[in-house]
Amino acid sequence: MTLLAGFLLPTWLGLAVVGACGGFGRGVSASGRVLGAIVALPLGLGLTSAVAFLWIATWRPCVGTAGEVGLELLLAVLGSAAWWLRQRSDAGQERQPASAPRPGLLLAGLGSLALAVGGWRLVRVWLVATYRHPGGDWDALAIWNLKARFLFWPEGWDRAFSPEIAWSHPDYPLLLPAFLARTWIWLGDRSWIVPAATSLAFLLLVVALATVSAYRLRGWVPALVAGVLVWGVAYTSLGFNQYADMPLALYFLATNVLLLESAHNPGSRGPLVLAGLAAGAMVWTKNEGWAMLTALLASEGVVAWRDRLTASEVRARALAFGVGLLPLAATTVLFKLTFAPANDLVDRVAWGGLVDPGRLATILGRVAGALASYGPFRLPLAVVLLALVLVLGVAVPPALRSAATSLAVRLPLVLAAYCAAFAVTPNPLEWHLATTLERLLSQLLPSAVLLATLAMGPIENRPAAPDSRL
Amino acid sequence: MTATPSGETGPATRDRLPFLRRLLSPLAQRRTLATSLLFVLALVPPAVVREGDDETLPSAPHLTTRPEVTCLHQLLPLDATVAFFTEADGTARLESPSPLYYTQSQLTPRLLVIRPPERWPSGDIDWFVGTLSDPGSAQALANRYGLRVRGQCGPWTVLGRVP
Repeated sequence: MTLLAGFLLPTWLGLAVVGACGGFGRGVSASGRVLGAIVALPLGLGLTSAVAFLWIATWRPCVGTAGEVGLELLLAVLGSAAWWLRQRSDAGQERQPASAPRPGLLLAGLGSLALAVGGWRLVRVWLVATYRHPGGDWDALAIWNLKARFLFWPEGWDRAFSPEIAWSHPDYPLLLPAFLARTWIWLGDRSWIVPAATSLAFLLLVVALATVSAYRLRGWVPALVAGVLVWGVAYTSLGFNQYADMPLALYFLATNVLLLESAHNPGSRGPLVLAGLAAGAMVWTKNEGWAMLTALLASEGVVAWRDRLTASEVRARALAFGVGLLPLAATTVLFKLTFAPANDLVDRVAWGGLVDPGRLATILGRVAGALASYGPFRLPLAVVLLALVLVLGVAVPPALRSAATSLAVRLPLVLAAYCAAFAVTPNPLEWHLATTLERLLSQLLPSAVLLATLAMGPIENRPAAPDSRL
Repeated sequence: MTATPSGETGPATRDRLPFLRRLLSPLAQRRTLATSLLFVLALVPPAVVREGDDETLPSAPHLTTRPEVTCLHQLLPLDATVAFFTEADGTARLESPSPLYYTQSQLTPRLLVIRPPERWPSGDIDWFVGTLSDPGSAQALANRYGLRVRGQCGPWTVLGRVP
């Protein structure tokens, strides 16, 4: 029961925040509400993680566990009150999802079957992986769950950030460890179920988010395509079970989805606030989140300049995004300034690598090779995606062109940042590439799949259904 | 009893064929065909999840209840900083870092550090945990640095400074 409450409270908080941002308003379609419910848990989880970290670092000896629970409850109640007030004043009308043609029986049947079988395989292999290694794979044991194990203890928790255990990367952010520690503290026991269930939740949510978002933006069959392909990413990630890469992939995807939603409903600032919150969760999850955030700001800036947005419009959008970004980004900065030792890459950075053609060629070759072999399918996922886009053509709906362009700029920018990090790494390059490339691609591929399904031309030449709402 | 005459289809087949034809006819369009092939590809069993260099991990779901881990917890104070070694001379030679990761994971909130044996006499660390299989070499190591063998917990030898 306590375990269930440990997940229900973040869900409640997330729902309240999404509701306060208009995600469940009167005019929102059923699919919009489902989308809001899907992003609620990860957003709530990010917020409770920050609350837990602040509590551990400051008030834990004074207020005990009840104080932490009380703080989360207070936030959830305040969020719910804001949601209620928003509902009362909300008369807005969401733009309806793109007119979704009713899918043919063949594609709908095959796609649903593929997604259902994929979901079953995912859960089955997760069960096997969890049974074999309940503490997670190596980095989970050495980094993410290890930090959580330290944070669990009222005394000695800050040893998690000791430079003596530099191999555990003490500077890595704490979204996942603080949430796990907080739930273990509630339980009074470091149960293996908590990290295992959390990892499964992230895997299922990343598939669900891609599917529902593609449905809202393009319709049924693209939704099934997105779901099946992102399932491939989630399945592949079971090779590094309980790491923070899939949570980061989910937050990056959520940020991109919410920016697309904002483009779909330009009158509403709620999706922008939520996108900022998801972006804050990115940087609170992994250091790569900063590369994602920087690429996001750059790509949005480029598109705003290209679209000649007025200064007041840019200010309003930046303000809404910044309001969402602030809580978790500030928590991350606070952690970096107060507890985290210097990052090993930053500390021993080798700038010369950026102008070493042989090194750069090696990196590009390995990235291309990793892309060409990624995925659980009999054909590489990138090849499947490329073939699908070549066959279907490109036809982005006009309302989404700017947001899609921004995403199309953003993804290569993040990949370029990762390549630059490999260029300057003080670690042996081959080892660094071999141990990280697949995980880094997993962070980006769900968003790449979303972009591809968003951009692809019509799959079936069928008349639009009279009522395309869920 | 009437058999269906040769060359004609029976009632059931007559009903089914147009349905199948209607169902499969979209495959004549390359876009539908490509998407269908993707879905079929996803239905083909994937390669099993990789089992690689992590075979040394124990597979019992309740890691912390293993008796040797409980034994470690009883011997080592919660606030201890513990030096890790793998060799009879007190050094830590880590062909693979997994023993270090796993031991630290089990020892939290105690901090597991690597200290070269020449620094052991400095007195900054009172507890030492190693993975020596030979009790005789553990005793010899303890004698060399004025330590005491505090216990053997499964694969782990625990040495402590004499108060």
